[in-house]
Amino acid sequence: MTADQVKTITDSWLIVSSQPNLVKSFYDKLFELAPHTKRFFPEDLSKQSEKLAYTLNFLVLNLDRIGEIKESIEDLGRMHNKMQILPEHYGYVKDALIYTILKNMEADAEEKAKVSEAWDLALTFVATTMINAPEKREPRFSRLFARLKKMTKG
Amino acid sequence: MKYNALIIKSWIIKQISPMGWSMIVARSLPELLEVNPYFSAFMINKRTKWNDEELQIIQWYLKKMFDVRIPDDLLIENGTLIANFLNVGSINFLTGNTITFHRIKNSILNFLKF
Repeated sequence: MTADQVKTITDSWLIVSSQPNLVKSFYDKLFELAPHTKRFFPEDLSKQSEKLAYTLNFLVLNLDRIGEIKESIEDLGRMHNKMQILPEHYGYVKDALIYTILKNMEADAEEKAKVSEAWDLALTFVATTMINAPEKREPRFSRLFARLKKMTKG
Repeated sequence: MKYNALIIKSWIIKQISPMGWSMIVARSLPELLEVNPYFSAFMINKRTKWNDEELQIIQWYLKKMFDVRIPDDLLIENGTLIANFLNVGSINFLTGNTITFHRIKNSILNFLKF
């Protein structure tokens, strides 16, 4: 992703994230696109919506240092994989989220296309990282050792 | 020192907004996990305590992103919940927010070095 695309995502998120009912609109769209995904969610979405807001903020506000959050994205992936969430489900989430963001933005068609493309790239990266997450997290010692090795090389 | 995390969370929600609180912990999570690998933004309850390092990280990002500072009188070791804050600790993102990030968009973008 380019710095410009990261800025586009952050910019658009800061515009739409304070919109009332943004999270609700997202779930409405998701269940419209894929009603069968309802089984993964509780009836009362209030707690789930808080988790979604944390996750989206975590992603967007750390896009400038994505390498540092890759392991956390993998953790999230492992959790979702255990819940038997399939690769195709990520596509519905991506489509519903991009639709919701664009719907809540006041921008011309060209700007919306730019926003859509940037979000598509970011969410595809997240989905791919989650789907391909290793079964277990690399032990802390190995990560530290790899970091030290990299520092020594530099 | 150990600080009552729920008091701090509730204060931030009241001062900024639920989404603002979520943004603060989201941005500071990589650093928070460095000092406390078990840190959870979601699982904060009456018994959750933060240490000085965790508090310092949250304070730093609060200042950088929203230009606010947690008042000293809230930062009491093992502080107990003030009744006014009890309801604020629970967030419902389905019902919207209290501030517009348009207003502070540039300061956050500047902080993120764009």
